[in-house]
Amino acid sequence: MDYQFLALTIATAIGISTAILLAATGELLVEKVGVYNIALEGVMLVGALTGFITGQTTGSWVLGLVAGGVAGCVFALVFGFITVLLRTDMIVVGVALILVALGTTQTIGSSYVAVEAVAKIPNADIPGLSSLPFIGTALFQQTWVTYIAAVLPFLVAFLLFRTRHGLNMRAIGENPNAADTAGIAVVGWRLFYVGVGGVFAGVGGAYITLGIVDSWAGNVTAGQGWIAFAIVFFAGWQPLWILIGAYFFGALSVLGDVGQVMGWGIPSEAFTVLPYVGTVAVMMLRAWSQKRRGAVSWPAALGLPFYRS
Amino acid sequence: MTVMTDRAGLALELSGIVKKFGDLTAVSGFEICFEPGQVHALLGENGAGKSTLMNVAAGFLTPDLGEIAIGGRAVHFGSPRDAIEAGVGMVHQHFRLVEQFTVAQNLALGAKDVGTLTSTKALNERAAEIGATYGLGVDPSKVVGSLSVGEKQRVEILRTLSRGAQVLILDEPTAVLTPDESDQLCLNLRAMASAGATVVFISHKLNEVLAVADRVSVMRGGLLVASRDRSECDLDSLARLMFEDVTQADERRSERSAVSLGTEIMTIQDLRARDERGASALKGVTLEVHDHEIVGLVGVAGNGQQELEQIVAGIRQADSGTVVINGDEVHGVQAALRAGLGYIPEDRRGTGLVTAQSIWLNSILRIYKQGTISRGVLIQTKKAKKFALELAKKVNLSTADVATLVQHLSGGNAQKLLAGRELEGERKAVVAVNPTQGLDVKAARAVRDRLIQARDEGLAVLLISADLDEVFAISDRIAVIYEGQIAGNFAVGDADRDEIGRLMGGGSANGLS
Repeated sequence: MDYQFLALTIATAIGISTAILLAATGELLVEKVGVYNIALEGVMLVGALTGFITGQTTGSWVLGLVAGGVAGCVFALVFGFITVLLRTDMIVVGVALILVALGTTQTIGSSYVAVEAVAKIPNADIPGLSSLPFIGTALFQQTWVTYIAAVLPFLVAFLLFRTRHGLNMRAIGENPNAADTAGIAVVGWRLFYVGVGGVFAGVGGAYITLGIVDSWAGNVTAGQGWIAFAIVFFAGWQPLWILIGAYFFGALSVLGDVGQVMGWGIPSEAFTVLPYVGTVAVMMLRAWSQKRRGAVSWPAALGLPFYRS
Repeated sequence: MTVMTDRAGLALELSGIVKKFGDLTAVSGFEICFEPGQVHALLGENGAGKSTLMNVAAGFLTPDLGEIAIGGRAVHFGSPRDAIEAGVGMVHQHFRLVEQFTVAQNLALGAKDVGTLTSTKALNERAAEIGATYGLGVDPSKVVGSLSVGEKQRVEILRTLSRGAQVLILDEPTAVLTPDESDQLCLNLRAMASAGATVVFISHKLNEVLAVADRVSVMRGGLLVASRDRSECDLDSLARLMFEDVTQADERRSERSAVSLGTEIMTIQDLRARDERGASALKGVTLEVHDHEIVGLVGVAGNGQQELEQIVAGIRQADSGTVVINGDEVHGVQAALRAGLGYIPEDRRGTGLVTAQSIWLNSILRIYKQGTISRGVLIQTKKAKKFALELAKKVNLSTADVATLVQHLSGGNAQKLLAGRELEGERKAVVAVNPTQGLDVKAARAVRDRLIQARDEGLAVLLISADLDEVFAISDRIAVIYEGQIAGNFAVGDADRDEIGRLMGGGSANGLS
């Protein structure tokens, strides 16, 4: 494998991780306040189609991403309204909403299938850095969205662990009754961050149709929302591990293509399932290592509806 | 410099507060005033409406009717936050602290004087300052989950005060404390009142109310039955006010009637176990309970009682050591049951009873496999209901309708049912954990009497309790557990309260037998 090929492989892995990374970072914020939006896959789908249609109509990928984010936010807030305000079961509602998203986007998007995107997200070379040997090709010839997505986990870490608001957020996720007693608006912030998580996942979805596959097809997200959901667990709710997790699964995804090019003789189907098998394997390893260390790292109130008491 | 002196002298007046839960009227409208500079005890048995009234005053509940005035100004609370801003703060029995956070982080939660950006150092300094201001010291950098209950309570009080609370409401604050910690708390409350705070102390323990209060108000059935200065109160008059038909407070009133003591029925030998987090919880516990004997095991919550209880009952595995009941080494629930063990768990509504089911189904949970109730795989409903009806009569349940769901029973009745079920039949031994916690005096007495009766019938009773009074009242022997080890073991006549309190807190024993 020559250097140039390896650099391109890394660049591809990072590029196609962008959507997962965005969605997982948003989901981390949601889970830190004690809610898990299991409908992430659905939110991404809604963002993917809305972004694509907006891109086709306006010819602007920026507007496409914005529209994807707004649509994701609205769809996530439907989930938030039903689970946070009405305190229903997150799993049942989440799965139902995914099916709603899948069916609705397939119907609405049928006339866009196999149409090439007119507003593709262009690569933005970083002056100076992008012309470095190897590293330039591997890291600095990405889109703006990819650069921003890579920085976001650091900003989220700062927000969570260095600010007063982050302390309040974590309190909501660990013990909402304590937060409530301290005068923090538990329900309000939970809804807010479900919405923010929706923006992240919606933009991520739009990035798939405008920046990765450059077209729309039914179920175009193909499980990326689920993987993003799993990465939050894999990362142990640590923002920087989200980054590592997303790139790791991006790397698994490109292995299939690499294998074909290199002629490894392994059927490409085997590589298609690799990210999913990898998810399961990593989760098992993680559970095992947590058991040994005796550490429980998830927000203690994760998934529990809040009742003032 | 303190918030306390700035806002000193806020009286809390509650006028005509009515609060209903469905058909139940918890508080039914009366005038009460809590004056600054006083510790005002609100006394009453469980369900008298004390906590409901004060939850209204602290913004946790919205009243159906009535008015709240702080320092003469009418206020309306939509949330605890409104109450805090008006200067009213409440410390609940179950602490509202984030266990995973440090003391400093907990004190910073929702505080207005914390900057947008935080650093561990700044938060720790702020916390130390708050502690110094109010004279309550806790290490700011410690994680709250690792603190003792008394320390957690101090953090909770500090947080409430640091928010500017001038009216401090404490809901049954001593229920979870060791005797030493209780004494310390009472001193602190007296100091706060002297500094001008309005302290409201909710309790059903007569002795401590008399020890700490300047003024005592008694509630019964949602109504105020008396409000007097401390100097006009004594034990008997308060007890009469609390319970119309009870005229004396608890005293030692159980002497073992049986003469024989010799057979070890329950033998716990060098038991070792870890807790859920893998930390060592039991470090070689050895304890025997004989027939015709109640052994009271006391200790501050979290010193291994739960692990011990669960291993004996067969729902948790030990790392090493044995539990022998009536000659059989037991592992698992069925084995324990066969050996004749009854189990009255602390969590009576979660572990002990199936609350969404009827009295009769709950009555037969331990024996439904027996031929008396079942034929093959079928439960004979008629026989089961007959059995339940007899049990209900025997334990003096308030209802004779065995189809009633357990969730509709009061705490006292639920516990009577549970104790009855676990003590009926061919029993040799019983483990009872905080069996009277949360019960009013009458119900508590019924449950204690049942345990004494079981002892007199020859059972070996292991009573694991946080209530020192109870243990002294009915035990024949008292053992102290501290950090997973038996720190002392006394015949009740030789046991000294102070020494036991010291052992519970980790002190060394003088003249340990």
